[in-house]
Amino acid sequence: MDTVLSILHWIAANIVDKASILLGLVAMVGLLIQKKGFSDVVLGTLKTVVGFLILEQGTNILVSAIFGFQPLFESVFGVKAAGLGGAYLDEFISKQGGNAALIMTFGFLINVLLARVTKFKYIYLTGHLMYWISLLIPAILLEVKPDASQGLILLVGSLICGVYWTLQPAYIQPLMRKVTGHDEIALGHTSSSNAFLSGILGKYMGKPEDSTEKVKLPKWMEFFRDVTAGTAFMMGILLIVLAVIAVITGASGTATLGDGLTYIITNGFMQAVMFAAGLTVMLFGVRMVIGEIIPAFRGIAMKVVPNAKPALDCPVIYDYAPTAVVIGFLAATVTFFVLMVIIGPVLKWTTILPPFLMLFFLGAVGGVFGNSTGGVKGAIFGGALTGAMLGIGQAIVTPMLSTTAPELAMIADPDWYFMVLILKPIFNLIF
Amino acid sequence: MLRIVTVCGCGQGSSLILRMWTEDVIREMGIEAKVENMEVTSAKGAKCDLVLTSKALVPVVEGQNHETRAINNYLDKGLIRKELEAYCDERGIVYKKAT
Repeated sequence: MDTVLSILHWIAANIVDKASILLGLVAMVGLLIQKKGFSDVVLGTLKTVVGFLILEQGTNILVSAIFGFQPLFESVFGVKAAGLGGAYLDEFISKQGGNAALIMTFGFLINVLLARVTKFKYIYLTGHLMYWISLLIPAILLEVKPDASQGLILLVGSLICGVYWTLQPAYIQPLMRKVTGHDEIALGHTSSSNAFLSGILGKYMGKPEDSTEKVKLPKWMEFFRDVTAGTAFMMGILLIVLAVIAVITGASGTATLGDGLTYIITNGFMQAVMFAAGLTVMLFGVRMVIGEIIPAFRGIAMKVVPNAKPALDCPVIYDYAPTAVVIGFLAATVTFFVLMVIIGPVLKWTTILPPFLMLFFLGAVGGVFGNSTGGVKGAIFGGALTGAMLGIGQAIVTPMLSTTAPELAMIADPDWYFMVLILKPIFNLIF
Repeated sequence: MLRIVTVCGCGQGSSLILRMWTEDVIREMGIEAKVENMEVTSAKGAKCDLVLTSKALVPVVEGQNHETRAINNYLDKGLIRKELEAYCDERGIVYKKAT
């Protein structure tokens, strides 16, 4: 009996606790179920394990860049970024990554089960978001109950994820049909809340006949297709401007012109490209991690619920209204920057960081859904609403995760904010 | 062994979906190919035989190391198959015709 217990304990400490190995195991099981050849199984498993380590390194770089430019924000805006400076995302991922892997797997199985027995026949295939939500729910729970047992974390996490992954595509499907013109695909994305509001309210802003696709856009806007360059560009402009302000007002503490220029480059430009670097590495890692897991999940789902609709990543809707994508992105960005100045220097509430990735991808969602019911005005409204939700959400939610992983609030989609706002009080009541 | 790369803007969701759908088509066509997915920055220099991406991204990822073709709807296996068949026809690669 003792031997069994010590073996189980060894497994828990050395395998389950090591998220990279756990994810590798999930991938391996998936590859074996798909009857892949020996070399495919070995390669796929190793890629998943290595991918997770790359992801962790990416978050390390990201977090250190954030610490690098936070003082700049604070000295220029005169407010401290609330909530940050406590726990860090990289530590949280190291500790809870294993649980996230299990939650992702069990949550997926619950999704498949619910799709099979209910009328909500949707299978969530947006792997990277499944990963992040599997990390977010434990973060919320641990904020409320830091001594939560692993069993509780897995139970709560898997149930909430399984239900969310089944119902989120379902409630947005009527609006999704308006966007795509058919019923073949579903949206599996944590921007369902801003998509929903943009679609519902868009009709009060304009008419769908005045579609964005009748508008012609200048060529240079295609630039923003590259996430790395786009992020570096946006953060670069922002941080250089802030650094210049800091030098001019003396907040930087530099005396000579030479020192000032050095300050602008090291605290402005370099931190911005470091941030873009961290983001790129992190995304690369996530891509490797889900690269084997999602095909495996899909294979399983297709056998159990053959008539299910795949719930997919938001870019699947972009081709239905490509101009709305750019309009939504621009509206979201302008709104966010305006809010950043209001929330920071004006209200002295906190500082928020522009999440280029979300402003682009989610602003686009707001634009496309807004356009489907309200044309150009609807698209602008949808983008602006998304920017506002991202800005206000970040300001409110970052401190709510301060003891676990506040940086999650900086890379969050609106649904994540709603989850924290709704679940944290509920967990408080129950636990 | 044909090396195919599927690309989307961010490298997270859409390119993976295109990759899975392309792998299905390859299986149906009975040709030997390996499919990888990535984002725009990595794809530009990717050394492979064929890059599949959306029309909007073709100008961003085309290069000397590979041929680039547009798939206008990542979810339409018919479109994917059409492009792959055209590619194979040009190179005399044999495949199973669709039934």
